[in-house]
Amino acid sequence: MSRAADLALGASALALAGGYAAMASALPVSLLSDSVGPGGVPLMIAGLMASAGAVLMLRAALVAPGAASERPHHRRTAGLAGLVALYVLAVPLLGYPPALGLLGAAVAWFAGARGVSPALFAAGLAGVFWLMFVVVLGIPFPVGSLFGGL
Amino acid sequence: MTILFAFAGCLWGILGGALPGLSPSIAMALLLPFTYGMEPVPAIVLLASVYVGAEYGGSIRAILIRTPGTNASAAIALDGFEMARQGRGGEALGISLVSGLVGGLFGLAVLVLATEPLARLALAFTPAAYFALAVLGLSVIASLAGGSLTKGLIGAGLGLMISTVGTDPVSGVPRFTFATPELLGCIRPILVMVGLFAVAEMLVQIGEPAWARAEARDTRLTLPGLSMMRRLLLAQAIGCGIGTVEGVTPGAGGTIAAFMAYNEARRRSKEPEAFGKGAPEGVAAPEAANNVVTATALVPLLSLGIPGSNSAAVLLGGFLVHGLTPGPLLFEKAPKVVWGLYGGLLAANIAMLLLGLVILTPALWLVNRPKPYLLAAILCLIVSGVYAIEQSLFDVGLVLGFGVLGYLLRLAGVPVLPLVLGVVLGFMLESNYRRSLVISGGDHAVFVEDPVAATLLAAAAALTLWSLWSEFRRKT
Repeated sequence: MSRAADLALGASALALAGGYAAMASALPVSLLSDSVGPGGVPLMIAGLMASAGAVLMLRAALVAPGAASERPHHRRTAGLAGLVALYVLAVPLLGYPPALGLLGAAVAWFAGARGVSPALFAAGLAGVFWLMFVVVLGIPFPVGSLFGGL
Repeated sequence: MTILFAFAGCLWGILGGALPGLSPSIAMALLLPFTYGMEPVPAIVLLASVYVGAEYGGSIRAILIRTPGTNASAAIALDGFEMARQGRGGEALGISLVSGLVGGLFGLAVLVLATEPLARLALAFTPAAYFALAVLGLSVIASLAGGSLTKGLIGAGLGLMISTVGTDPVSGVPRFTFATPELLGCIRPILVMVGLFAVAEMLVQIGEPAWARAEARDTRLTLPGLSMMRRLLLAQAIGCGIGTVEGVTPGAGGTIAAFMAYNEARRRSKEPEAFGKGAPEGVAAPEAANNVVTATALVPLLSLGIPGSNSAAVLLGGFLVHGLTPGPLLFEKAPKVVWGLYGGLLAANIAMLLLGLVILTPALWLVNRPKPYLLAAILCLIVSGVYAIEQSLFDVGLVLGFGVLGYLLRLAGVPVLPLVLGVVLGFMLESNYRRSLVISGGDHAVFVEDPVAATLLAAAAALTLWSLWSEFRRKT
């Protein structure tokens, strides 16, 4: 890991610990509460996190920087995460099988499949999953508001 | 006929365990209504066989697609998936199958021979002892931190933070929920694990410069030969020993056992540096431990009537449906059912081996399809399976969030195992710590006065110091 990355990680850990501790301190204490209270253990965890962050920053500042590794393609990663996020938004609107089919086709295409195969694959996938989860297991997936369901 | 039920139950269990969204307890619960009209022995055998099959089925997807089916199978994913990635998926599945059988049969022998003394051990567990057990589980972080204890602690801290989201276990105050009703319960560890392991793996893979390059892969199941069995013997023995003790403590389950067995096998290995990079012992130890727990977790249920896990609770339901109440009197009132259960568990373990031989090669073929289609199919399986758990799209979003977190942690070099342990053990740690203090009137001496707690805490301290010393010696 590079020195900058370790410094950034240490600083993030410190910031997270600070925010978490502030929220823990602000927790209301119930009449049912014990001597530790709802914020007691979270404050200990925040202390652990802050200490680890501070040590990491200190070590990164003192130790010589390491060699940089091959850079991954963050855009492709972000694209894939975006497709799943779109699926979460689309399911209530389109319903389960169409949204799942679109997700399958989009991911296969995004990952390099071309031609009509991704579409055929996605249609089959949506059908098999609908059969397995909805028909066999009886799980109530959203029907989709576009089609008059919830 | 009963043997047929054992095979059918085991097959349903393996399929249920291998499918995201169906936990072992759900797979059992789905069959519970079908047992109403059955005789008690086949009904209990059917449910117990589903339990055995599902606990094993979780390992198949952990190895092949890095999606743990149960909390315990997260430990199996570590080296199992690495082996699969290196084209040794058939070998990993073979080791997992045989080690699962070894663990299952050993656990059954313990269940038959030592239920009474082990039940006394289960009764000795006070809240202070459970707290100490969670500390012991967390103590393996020192050796699982992957070279940087500081980063391991950051991971563990994150996991513990996630475990505090939801309603406070003692006072009922909502904590860190950001006024979101879905977070009032808690964040289920399985969601964190599916995100951190499976989704993060896909995000990493698609971002790799050589993403589309084809890889030569093992497409046939390979059972371990004699020399490999000899090599795995120590790891399996470690798994069996740890699984026996962990299994009888209600609530501890296979997770602590699997991680501790993994850590112990690594610590005692001649090549500890191979762990995490596809070491066969890294599959054998947690698999054996998990399957021992499957059987020994029935000790508190049969002898005391205490269900130690969700699956044991469903099995308890099966007993109650047939007018049987597990507890000390069960052995006197219905010995036929108890012995029928033992026989059914034996048949289920043999069924697991035979069914594994039949279905694992097609499973390997499935995961060797072209990468774009495989990626799409796995993502669709994950989003469907996660939704199926609680019928919640919020959970699907959470899993995606944990996937992105796992991706960022990998870039930062933070090991995810301490995080997983923090999530799994955080609730047990906090709730029992505070319950102990409520009982003792705020006196921390309760943790050293309780003999079980004191022994476990001393073991945790010794394990941590040993791990730190080993790491130090390796570096210098």
